[in-house]
Amino acid sequence: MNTLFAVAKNTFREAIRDRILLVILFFAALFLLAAPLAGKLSPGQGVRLVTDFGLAMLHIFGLFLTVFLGSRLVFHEIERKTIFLLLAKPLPRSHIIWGKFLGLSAVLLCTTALCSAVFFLLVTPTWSLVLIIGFIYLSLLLLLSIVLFFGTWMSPLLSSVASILFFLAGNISFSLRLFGENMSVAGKYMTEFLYYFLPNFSSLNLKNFVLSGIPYTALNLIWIALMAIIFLIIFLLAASAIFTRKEFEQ
Amino acid sequence: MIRIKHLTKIYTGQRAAALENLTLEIPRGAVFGFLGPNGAGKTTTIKLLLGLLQPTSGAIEILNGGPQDLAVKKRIGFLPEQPYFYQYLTGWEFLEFCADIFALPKEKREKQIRAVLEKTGLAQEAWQQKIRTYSKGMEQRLGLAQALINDPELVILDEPMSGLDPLGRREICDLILDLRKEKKTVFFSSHILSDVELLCTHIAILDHGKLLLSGEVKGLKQGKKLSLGELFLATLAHARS
Repeated sequence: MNTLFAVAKNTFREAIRDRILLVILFFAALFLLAAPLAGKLSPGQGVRLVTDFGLAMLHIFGLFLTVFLGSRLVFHEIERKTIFLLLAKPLPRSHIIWGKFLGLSAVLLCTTALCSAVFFLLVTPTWSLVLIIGFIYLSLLLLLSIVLFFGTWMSPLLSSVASILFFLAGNISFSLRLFGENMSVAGKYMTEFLYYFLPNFSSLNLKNFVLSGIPYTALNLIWIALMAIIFLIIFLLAASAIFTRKEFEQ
Repeated sequence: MIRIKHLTKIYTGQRAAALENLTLEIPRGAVFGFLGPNGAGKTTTIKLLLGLLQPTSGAIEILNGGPQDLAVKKRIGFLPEQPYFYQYLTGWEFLEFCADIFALPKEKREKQIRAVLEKTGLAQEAWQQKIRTYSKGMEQRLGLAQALINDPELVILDEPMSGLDPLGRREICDLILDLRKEKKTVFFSSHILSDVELLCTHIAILDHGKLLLSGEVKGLKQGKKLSLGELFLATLAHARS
């Protein structure tokens, strides 16, 4: 476990010392602070619009950071050949994947907390909002596991595109399933398969039903979180399996 | 210490073997020079020894285990050719990271980092500087320091003198001589034959993935009034004729 935390600590250090992170955070703060402008566009709906806009910005910048930093994690080790220094040491290859995941999760926790602090300067904090942000963070972790999975065998650009497509498809899998009910048998099975195969990102976006007053139970939330964690573990196990068999010829 | 039997490596998509039927034995305490022109298969052999590549056929026994065994890797130090580092770390932080991977106890860690930095001659003011500010020579010293952080029984160095000025080369030679005195086994590849002659107890010459010659330096030169450089060139010329 020591080796896993050593990789996590190193990943955390790398990410927080990356100037690009600071630039992205600066823009995230700028957009969040611009949220009151959205409120002014629609009198009477001000608070709701500021909240919606702020949460959307928090989510979008989180997604951008996850894809941008996550897609480079493994690739940079190989491209810069630091991987040779690591693999010659008593470090299980799976620890590199899990350690990198842990390290970047810690970075995302810090950035989400920082953006939330800016957001709560504009909006009164409530438990519902904290819960929504918590689930946004969980969706970022799930996306990170997908980015890492693709990143073990694809270039950063390809893994970014594949992960974003996965994320978008995961957001509409429920609608696809409903759509499939009116299709032929093959279409129905196809949409049904996609519904179960793709992680359901839309269920992690609590904003829509919490802010609209749709009731939810603790059991619902636990089930949604559990499903996300199961998918996350599957993607990380798959990434580890690919990385363990990988040869470094160059 | 190291036993290589009929080792062959063919890279994906290649027809020719990068390494062909290599059989070699390196005894404990030897300073082993691995010689050959570019593309001879030296780095491929080193990568196979460290478990970075899987052999197409053949077997490797290293420190009584296999190249993938973590327990074996704990006893090996490795300096890659032209080592790359994490540029955003300081030299000290990088060695802390390496010490953590070897699970050195906290109380021993700082002492060991200090010891290897002093041994490899990295100036004290550079310890807390970011690696991106290091010169080639400083990077090579840091590379050697990380290879020694676990006090290894076997040190594998891939072209340790490459890109160094004469003074830097001399210091690396001195360091290898120190390791020899400490009875460590050193396996290193090099193009610089005068250094190999000075340092090595055993050598092997490789060309186009094939072993041309191997053995104890004394034995190979016995009865021949040849320098190692001349022996190397004569062996290559004979093999290629």
